[in-house]
Order: sequence, then C-alpha cells, then structure tokens
Amino acid sequence: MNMINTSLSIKPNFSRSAQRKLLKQFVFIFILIVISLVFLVPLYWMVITALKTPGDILRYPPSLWPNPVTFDNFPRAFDALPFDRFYFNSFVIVIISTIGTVLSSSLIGYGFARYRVPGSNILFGVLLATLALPDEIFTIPIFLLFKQLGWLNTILPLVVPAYFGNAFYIFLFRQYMRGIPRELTDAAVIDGANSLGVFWYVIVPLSLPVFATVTVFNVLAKWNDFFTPLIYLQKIDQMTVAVGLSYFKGQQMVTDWGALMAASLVSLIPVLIIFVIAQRYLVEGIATTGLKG
Amino acid sequence: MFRFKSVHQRTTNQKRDIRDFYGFITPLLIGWVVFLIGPLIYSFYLSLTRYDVLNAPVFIGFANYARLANDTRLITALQNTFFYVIVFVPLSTLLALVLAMLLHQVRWGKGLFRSIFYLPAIMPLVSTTLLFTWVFNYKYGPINLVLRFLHLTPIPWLSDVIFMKPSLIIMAMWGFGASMLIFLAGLQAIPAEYYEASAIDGASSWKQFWKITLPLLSPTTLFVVLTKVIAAFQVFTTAYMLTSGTGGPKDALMFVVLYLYNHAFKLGNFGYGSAIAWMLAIIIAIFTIVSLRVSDRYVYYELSSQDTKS
Repeated sequence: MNMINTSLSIKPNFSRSAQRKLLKQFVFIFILIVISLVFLVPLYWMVITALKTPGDILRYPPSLWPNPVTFDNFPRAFDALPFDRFYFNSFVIVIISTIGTVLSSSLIGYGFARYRVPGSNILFGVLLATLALPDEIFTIPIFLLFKQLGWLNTILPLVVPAYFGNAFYIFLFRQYMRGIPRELTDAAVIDGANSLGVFWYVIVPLSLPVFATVTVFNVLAKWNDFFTPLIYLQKIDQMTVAVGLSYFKGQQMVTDWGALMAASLVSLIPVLIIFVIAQRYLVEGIATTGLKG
Repeated sequence: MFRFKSVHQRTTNQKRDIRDFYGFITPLLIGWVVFLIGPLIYSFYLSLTRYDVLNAPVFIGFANYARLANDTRLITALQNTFFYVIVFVPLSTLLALVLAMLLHQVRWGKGLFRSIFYLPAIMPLVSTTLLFTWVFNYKYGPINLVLRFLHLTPIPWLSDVIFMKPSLIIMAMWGFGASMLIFLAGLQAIPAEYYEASAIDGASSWKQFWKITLPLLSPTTLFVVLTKVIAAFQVFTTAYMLTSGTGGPKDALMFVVLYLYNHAFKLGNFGYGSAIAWMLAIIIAIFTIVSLRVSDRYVYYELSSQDTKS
C-alpha cells in the first residue's frame, strides 16, 4: 500500500490521469457489455427457441441452450403458412418499388439540386412541408382511389406511388448532388451532352453512395411495411412476409413457439443480410439526416 | 402556366433551365396532384360526410367532429396515445443519449456495440412483436425467469391490463438504436478543442456536459424528440399485433391510429375515419408548432461559415 502511494506521488501528473482514463474506459466498456447483453436477450431467446424441440421448449425451468439442437421447427413453420410464397411476394414488391423510388427521387432531387429557376425554391419549401404531414390523412382517400381503379388485391397500390418520388429521398439526393462541382457538368454540356445525358453520365456515377443509402432505406421500409399490405391485400397467396407472419398469431400455432420463432428468424434473413453488407450506408444515411427516430 | 415580366430579357439558357427543371420534377408534380392535393381535399370532404362505400357519401356538416368529442372509446384511445407519447419519448431519448455518450467515449469495440444497439431498430415490427410475446411469456419468458431467480414476483406482462402499456413501451424502447446513431453523429460534430480548452480552464466533466455537450447537441435533441413524438402519435403495428387488431382487453392498447383503422377498414366508416385522421393531423401539427416555438429559446444554433453562406 505504502509503495503504491509513493510510486504514484513520484510519477508525473499525467500518468495518474492516464490511469484514471484507463479505468474510465474499463468502466464504460463494462457498462456497454452489460447493456448489450440485455439487448441481445430477445434475439438469443428467439434463436434458441427456434432450435429447440417442442418438449424442450415447454420444459420448466427453461434451458438456456437447445439440447438437442433441431431444425424441425423450420419445415413446420413452412407447412403452417406458405412462407415461400410470402417471400416471393415481398421480393417482387421490394424490387419494383425500389426501382421506382430510386429512379424518380434521384431525377427530382437532381432537378432541385441543379436548377435555380422561378418557382424552384417555393416548390422545394412545399416538398419539405409535405414531410411533416402524417400519412393517416391520405390513407383513406388514396385507398378509395385505388378501390375505384379496381386495384385492391393487386400489388399496384404498393408499387405505383413509388414512381412519383418520395419527399425524404428527394431531399437526400438533392443534398448530396448539390455538392457536385458545377464545372464537371458544364464540361459535359460543352461536350454536347443534354440534361439527361449529364445526369446519367456525370451525376449518377458521382452519387453512388446516396443511391446505395436510398436503396437500402427503401428495401428495409418496404420489407418491414405492415400497414399498406394489410389494407390492400386480402388473399393469403398475395401476402407479404410482414403481414403473413402476423397470421401465425391468429392460428392455433400460438402454442407452437418453436415454429413461431423459426418463422420470425426466417423473416429477418434479408434484414440481417442488409445489416451485414450495407450497414455503412444505413449509418451514414441516418447520421446525416435521421430517418425513423 | 408561369408568366414572367421580363421574358424578353431571358437568355435561351435560362429558358432551357426552366424547361429542364420542370422536366426533371414532373413526376413529383403529377404525384402531388394525384396523391397529395386531391386526397387532401377529398379527405376533408369525406370527414364532413357519412360514407360506407356501398352508398354515396351523405353530407352531414361537422357532425363527425361533434361525434369525436362524445366518443368515449376515442377518448380512451387519445388518453392511451398521450400516455404512450409522454412515457415512451423521454425514456427512449434518454436511453439513446446516454448510450451515444458512452459509445462516443470508448476506444474499443465501438463498431460492435453500435451494431448490437442498432440491429433491433431495423427489424420488422411484426417480428419484434412476435419475439416479445415469447420474451414476455409468463412461464417461459426470460424476464420472468430473472425475476423468479431474484425471488421477485413474476409479472403478467401481456395478460394484465395494467402491464400491457409498459410492456409495449419496453418493446418500443428496444428499437432506440436509430436515434442513438443521430446523437452519436451530433456528438462527433462537436469540436474536441472545446473540451480541451475548458479542461485547461479546470472545468469538470459534469460542467462540460451542461455547458458544452448539451447546448451544442440541442438541435439534434430537438430533431430526435420531434420525430419520436410524431412517430409515437402514430403507433399502430405493435398494438395491432399484440391485440390482433382489437386494442383490447378493456381497450388497454387502443391507440388513435388503431381506432381509425378499425372504423375505416373494419367497419367501413370512411367519413368518421377521415375526421379521426384530421383530428390526429391537427394534434401533431399543434404539437410541432408549439415545440418549435418553445425550443427557439433553448436550442442553440451555432453559426458556422457554412450556415452564413447559404
């Protein structure tokens, strides 16, 4: 004890503060580890339940790992509901709507980024104002419009609006494209490119990060969307993964926790893949403007 | 459509710019007419009618709005929604801020922790809810398992009316990661020199938090709180999933949007549903305007060279 005290008092001041900093680091990391573990419990519980046998799941007290490990819950989940069909439907909707929203929002965003003409500022202000309008006011009239068009129980209501631009994505594109130096586009114009040519050959190649961000955002939003397919689709063979998964609760499956957790796990696969390969674009997109909240 | 006084002065360049600009944004203008202005007008008209789709809309003036005030289930839904907003938003914001500050200061494992906290935020809410029905399970759920291990009374999370809203809030807080990322970006934007200079002046880290971090983070905080409140007013999917769309038992999880959904899409009351939608939009608008006004006094906007230029 005595030795430590003397050694501390002899050493210059900064090493003492360095020790304190190190201790602070350990304390912070310890707290973060504890909170991370708490946050991982639900996911862990889902995975082990999906891999347990039905008998193992209903054993009390519950075991903390599957013994034995079984994959039988997955085929049972697929027998109960047509998950392959749900997957196919979700993919179709995600792909068609993402093409539409990226195409339209990037063109519109470029229009706002590049041109300053009478009306452009006012229209951009209106665009930002529309971001503040809650979707609920539009739900009923747009539903009635699509019903009038005979589009209920088709995927059209879920994909057609994407082709008219999304205010938030337009904003993201505009912010990014504003940073592209004017000289680059001017050079292309001198070389004889028209406005669409400039967009396609100069702007798009220079804006790939924001294209990636918008694509990832939209894929996740459409994959996770619950409300739109819920009101527009009725037939089970048209259903998306998000709504199809909710049917589990209505069925007698409510006691088959193994199949339920297996199905939940399967619904997460695309999200997990995006999370692993494109997390950078998600984080950058959220950090710059903040989606969700 | 657009007429200008000095058309003759305009060069062909400017004319071409105008043509190009409106060319690029044509999809948006069409979208506004079809999916924004038209529906907005139609929705307001519907809110003044009785309309069940089978028969033509019957104009009834403001009767739907008068009905709102006497609708006890709607009042329950409003109370539940306000409760959810008032409890969930501060808790979730605080959690996001504290964890962002911890993450900002650690030197190891930052990316890993960030990923762990962020993953729940991008999961489909349907999967999250199914997951939590199992986590909240009275007999086999891990939370009650821990409570029993600590010799505490297990809680009937999803079957007792008293605990249903807290359970929903706990579940929603699990997805706090997106706002944590926004706070983290805000923290990273604060110049390190501020802390170094104040440390030389002998400021404690507590004082630094109140005098540097919090003021410089106030625009970020305003953004996070505003977006959270707006999203919380619109809570739907989790409540729908937990109650199979009924909001019950005893309307414990009946929220405004769920009530709207039931009226419009279950009962076919499109007129009354539209009135509920307008009520919600007005509540959100009032809240947004008030908080922007109030925050003017507290939010500190740093004038950087970039801001002064634009």
